Amino acid sequence: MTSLAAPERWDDAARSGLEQTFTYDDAIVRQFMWVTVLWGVVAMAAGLFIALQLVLPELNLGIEYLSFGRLRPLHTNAAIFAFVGNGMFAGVYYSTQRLCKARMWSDALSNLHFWGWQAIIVAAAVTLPLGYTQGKEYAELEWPIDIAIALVWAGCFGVNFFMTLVKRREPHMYVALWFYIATIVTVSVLHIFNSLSVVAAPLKSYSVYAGVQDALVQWWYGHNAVAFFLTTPILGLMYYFMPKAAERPVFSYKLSIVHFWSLVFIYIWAGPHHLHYTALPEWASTLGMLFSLMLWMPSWGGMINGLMTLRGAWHKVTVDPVLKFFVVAVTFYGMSTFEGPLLSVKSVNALSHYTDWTIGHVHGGALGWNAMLFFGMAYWLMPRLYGTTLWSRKLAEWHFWISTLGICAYWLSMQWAGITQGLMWRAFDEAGALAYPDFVETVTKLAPMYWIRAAGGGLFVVGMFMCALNLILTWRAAPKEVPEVVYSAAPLGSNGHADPVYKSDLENVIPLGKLTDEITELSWHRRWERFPLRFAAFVLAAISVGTLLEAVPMFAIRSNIPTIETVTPYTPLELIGRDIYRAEGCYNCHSQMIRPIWAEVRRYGEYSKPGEFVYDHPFQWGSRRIGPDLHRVGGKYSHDWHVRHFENPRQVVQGSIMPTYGHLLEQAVPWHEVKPTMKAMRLLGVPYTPEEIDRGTEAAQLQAATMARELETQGGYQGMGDKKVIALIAYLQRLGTDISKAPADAAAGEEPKP
Amino acid sequence: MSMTDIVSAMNSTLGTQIGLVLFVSVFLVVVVRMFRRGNSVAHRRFASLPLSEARVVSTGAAQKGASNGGT
Repeated sequence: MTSLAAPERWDDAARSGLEQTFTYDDAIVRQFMWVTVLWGVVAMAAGLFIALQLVLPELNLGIEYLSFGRLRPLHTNAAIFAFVGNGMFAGVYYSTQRLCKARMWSDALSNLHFWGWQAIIVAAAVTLPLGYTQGKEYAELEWPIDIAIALVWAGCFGVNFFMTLVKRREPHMYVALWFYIATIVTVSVLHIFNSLSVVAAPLKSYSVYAGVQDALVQWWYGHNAVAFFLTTPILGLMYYFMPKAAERPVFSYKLSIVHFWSLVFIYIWAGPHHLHYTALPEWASTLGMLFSLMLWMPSWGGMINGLMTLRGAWHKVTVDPVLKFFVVAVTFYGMSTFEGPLLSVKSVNALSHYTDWTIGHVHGGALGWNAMLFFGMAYWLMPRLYGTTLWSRKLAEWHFWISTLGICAYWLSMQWAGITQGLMWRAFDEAGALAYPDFVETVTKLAPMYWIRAAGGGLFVVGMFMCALNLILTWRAAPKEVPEVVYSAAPLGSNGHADPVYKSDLENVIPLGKLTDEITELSWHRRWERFPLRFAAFVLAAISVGTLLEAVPMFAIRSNIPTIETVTPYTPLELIGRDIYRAEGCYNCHSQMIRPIWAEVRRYGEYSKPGEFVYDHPFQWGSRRIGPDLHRVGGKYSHDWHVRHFENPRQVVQGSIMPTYGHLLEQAVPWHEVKPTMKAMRLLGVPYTPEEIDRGTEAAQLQAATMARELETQGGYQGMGDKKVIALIAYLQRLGTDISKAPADAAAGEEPKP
Repeated sequence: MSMTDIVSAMNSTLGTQIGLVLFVSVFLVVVVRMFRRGNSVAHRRFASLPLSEARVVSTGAAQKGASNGGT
């Protein structure tokens, strides 16, 4: 049997003509590197600030824009999309040009990508503290910014990248490029489908999905944002920069290909593991767990491939800070991808979900894996980009040790905090009562761990500043004129993108035998490996399988979300209150999902049912319990208690770490938003009649006035009838109460139907 | 009969089973292909791609941080 893999078959004979000269666009790489450093400082400083708020709740100085709920999305978006995103772009632009032996297809698109992405980040940094949010974790940005993201990502970055692949001079697309392709294709799909929403105002929109379905789509997006924004591109960078730094070829190219396809196919299924024991149907949750467990193998295959690339070069690790960063990064990749499947196991998840263990896990990935790999890449790349040497290797060494110490302190303290929380929440005394019935007991207990976390995070921030200083001084010490290198390589010939089709040379076999030989030789696979767009189509097919097989039954099977007769749409005032809940980012600290676990039912009340969320656009289940679950909070406290709690939580709950929300007692309810909001909800299928919408504002004002009178009779403040706090309390008092109504009560407020 | 009727009548684990069969099939194809002896030479070359730079023709000078034009 003839093999197509012989070297001469890969050296395209048609390329023997004219060689072409070209340069690389390293200016764009430098730009992305500098903004990565800048946004890294911002993201990590914001993270440290909100971490400190958990032990010093007054640290926001009563300023609404600095509260935990508003700044946490800023921190996560800045860390993911600004810091890791820009770092990824820098590495992708550098390595793609070298691997393709071609300059980026369009300098204009590169620059549009750069400036467009920075504009998006600035828009996020302005709108999130102002409370403009879609209320979905890691997808908070409002619709105009979402559209800009899609255009810049696919229209500038994607087109430029794929056209560079098309125009490349290297026949084979190295595996790093495969990871970049998967990133671009999948992030586009995730972003577009998760962001689908109905617009109610210039900076206000509502998810087209509701409740359980919204949760599934959101965590399909959320988990795969981790997979395809924080993992696959970084793996591509690992497969390029580790061999460069170690001056060794990648350990096993075969393993890298198995790693790639397994990861791309399996990752997309794993999202539902974020929703164990929730109102998500069990089949979907189990599916998410099983595929998460399967992910362990390819992930560790990748980790082993990365570490083994250093075979014969381990002696360099002791003296080279770049390799040190890479080794720790890949090790953290291994630890995070072990911990992830572990946390997805239902019995473990029952303990860990909503706790700080998850926070430790994501920071192990984001700081230990992503940031450390970026630091290694930066110390290797920046001197080369400026034709000089690193200003101080010693400072880089210090950075390495401080950051490693910092992330270890962070990770371990959060694991400790998470397990402590989980155990305290489920602890019973001898009489069968909750051992810690006051939720706040489980919060104050965590203060030492929160201090250690803040210290660990602080060390990491210090390291980030050291990195910035080292790189700035490297730039300043560089020669004024950077040598511009002109390269030469042969273009791909007219058939340069295609291998010859394998023809079987077997003799004395029937045609079917020859056909089988040709198919199993798999030259077809190698051929489309070299066609970027066709390759992208196969990646799309791989991610579509998991997506469709989870999403279609979820949306189509009626029994997934049994209807509850007593569940009715929110009143106009409650709708506005829900908007305030979303704008303040309450879902960052409070869940609205009581799992069918005995300790939770004892603490919060009846477990949550899928049918209770059918009018929730977007769902607000949350993923943490810094504060208690709120799904059954309706009717639990008086209006007066709520007002005083918002004014200063420590007035009514000693030891609470919730920020003060005094502004809610001063700011007026945005009555003008009632009708547009109801109209948007009607478009989404919420059964408001046109008459109800017309009378919406009056109905909201009437309910607010009634509640204000009730507040006064409870001995509370006067004149709250037009303040935001009343709308928010109306929403909270409604939460979780529908299922306890008799059907007749639910229908009582409705017009009689003919 | 709507899509909802059809999917609601299906066994909810059917999709999972289809997915697993598809995954295992693709996985086996990839693995078989990877470990065919004939591919070793090509894979050794591919593994070294990050280390193989294009040929340097000349080294000029440009301003620090300036954009470098193409040819």
